[in-house]
Amino acid sequence: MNASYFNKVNIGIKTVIKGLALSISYLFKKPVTLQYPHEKKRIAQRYRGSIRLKRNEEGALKCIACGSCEKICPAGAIKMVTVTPEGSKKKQLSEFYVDLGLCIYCGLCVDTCPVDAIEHSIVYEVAERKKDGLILRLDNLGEKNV
Amino acid sequence: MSVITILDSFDKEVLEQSYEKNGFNHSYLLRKKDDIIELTKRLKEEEYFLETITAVDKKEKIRLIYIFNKMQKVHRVAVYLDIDYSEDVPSLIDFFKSADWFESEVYDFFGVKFTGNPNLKRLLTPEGMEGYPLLKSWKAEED
Amino acid sequence: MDTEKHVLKDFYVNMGPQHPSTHGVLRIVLKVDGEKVMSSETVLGYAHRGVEKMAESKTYIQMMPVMDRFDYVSSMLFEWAYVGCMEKALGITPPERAEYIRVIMAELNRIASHLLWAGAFLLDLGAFTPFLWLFDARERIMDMFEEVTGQRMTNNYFKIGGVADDLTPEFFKMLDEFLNMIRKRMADTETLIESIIFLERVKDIGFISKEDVINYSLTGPVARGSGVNYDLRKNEPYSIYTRFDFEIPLGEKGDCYDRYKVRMREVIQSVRIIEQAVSAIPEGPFAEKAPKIVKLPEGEYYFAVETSRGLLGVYLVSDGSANPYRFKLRDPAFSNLSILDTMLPGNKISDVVAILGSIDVVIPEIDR
Ligand code: SF4
Ligand code: SF4
Repeated sequence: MNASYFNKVNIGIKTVIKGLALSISYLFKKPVTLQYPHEKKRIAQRYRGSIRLKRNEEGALKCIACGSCEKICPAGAIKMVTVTPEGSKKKQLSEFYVDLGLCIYCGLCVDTCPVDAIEHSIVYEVAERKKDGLILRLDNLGEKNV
Repeated sequence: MSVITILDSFDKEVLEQSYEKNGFNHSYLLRKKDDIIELTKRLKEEEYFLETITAVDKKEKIRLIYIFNKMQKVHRVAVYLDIDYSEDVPSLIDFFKSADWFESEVYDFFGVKFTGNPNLKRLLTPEGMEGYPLLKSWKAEED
Repeated sequence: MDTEKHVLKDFYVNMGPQHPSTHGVLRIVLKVDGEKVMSSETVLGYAHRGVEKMAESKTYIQMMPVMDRFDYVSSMLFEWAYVGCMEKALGITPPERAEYIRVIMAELNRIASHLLWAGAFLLDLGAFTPFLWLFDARERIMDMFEEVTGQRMTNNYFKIGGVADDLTPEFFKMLDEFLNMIRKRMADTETLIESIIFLERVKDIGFISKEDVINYSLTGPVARGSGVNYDLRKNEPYSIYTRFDFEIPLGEKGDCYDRYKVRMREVIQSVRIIEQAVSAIPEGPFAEKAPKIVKLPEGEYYFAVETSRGLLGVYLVSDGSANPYRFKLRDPAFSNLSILDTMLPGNKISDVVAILGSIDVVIPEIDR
């Protein structure tokens, strides 16, 4: 125990008091914490949430079943089944799966779509009890995407 | 002394790559692999540092790339070395300690052995890994 | 009496792979004698995902989102290196506005990374308050990213020939607010932290000499903490960094405190760059037309940027097809971490946390 030791303790106490005063001043500021899930954050319009297919004014799917999104998806999250009705040359969508458990929300499928038929919703609460529930199909593609 | 004069005395082939196009100010393919030691020594004296060591599987041979760079002003020198799949290469650990991990990484991915590096080990791949994954002959198991 | 029995020889402590202060899955095997570290061995590979092999079977575009997942705290800087490399190969120059947007985003990302580092580093050393203060500031950056890029961390915002989308008026409002508070927040943190309690823990430990910087290929704040003036934004100016007026903070002794100080001062320099960029940003398109299917001309390409951890190089070998023939990342934290085993011996176990923290590693970037 020498003088310099007590000197250090002295300085230590002083700086701690200074720091405490500063932290106390922060006590009187507006809190920044949100009480999730009671309070929710504002979600940006561009937010890349779960995938959904767009519909046109008549309510029909805009998708032309070209398959670009399935091909570009780096995670292999999109699978589609197409049929070609007799007498028509155009392919039609018969089933469309998006596995949210695989999707990395990268946005490449949206970028690549030639007719702007697929988009991200701003839904981010996609947790499910069963893995099956993470797979979006044509009939529930809208369900998660309120 | 500029890098060109340093390299004069080595048996080499000059590759056509430019800074604007490829990112390397100079690229040389050394014909004798033992020259890399002498060359590194000279470059270190000229205050170059070893940016990285890596390799490419060129199907018949492995091409090693040593990238040197200068801190004060960018001067990136790529030194290439063509070797066979089972050939050993002298280690640079005597000049740059960072070569230890760089070489271990190349050994891990390509199976190139560096003589003189005492710590050569499989750095990144999991224990019990067989084969060298970045060789083109290596195929991932389907699951 | 059999005292021999109680003498422990070769006592090993396994730090990690699940240790809170390694910030990821890094394992350090410490050989200790009492409190003192005798030798150490760094074990890597717990987060190895084989990305370099994976790249060979993915297209160039599909690799874009993967770039975010190396260093998830400064993801856009990684995107920049990859996009820049492809632009070099294709001979595309992004428009002016895109360059400015890139600089703003990259510098914000650098600040976010440093704030996260500082918060976690101080938390490791026992200071809880600055962690919350700095995370509040970082959270604002994350909100801005969400506003512009659509994601908080894995942004996938840089595209070949520009960026994915324009900045919004809302973003500028948020940026203004942020720039107004960050200087005060950094000053407050420093007043709070720089007490003798903190200084005694970080001063005069973990020295790195100038020779070792060259020897171990160290870059970034770790090199600058030792007084080596090496920053790619000055020494190998890419994009439009020559237009901005900023300084490169340097340390003197190369101890943990110097590295801490360098990063804290870098935040302010980045703020300066952002302020200049915001006032000078021109109108115009935010992206050049880029090919939908990217095929690089045959050859080899290398492009380096300065990330928050140092020199990041992307090395691409193309054989003219749609997939990279070889994709290699020269990542800064990999070589920065390689010096750890030489730094630790002789220090106390409690100092290991400070030394490792001061190097600032992100494990997925090292393990790839
Ligand atoms: S967002 Fe990305 S991962 Fe998800 S479905 Fe689209 S392309 Fe696939
Ligand atoms: S890219 Fe668009 S049009 Fe083509 S299949 Fe996907 S959603 Fe349908």
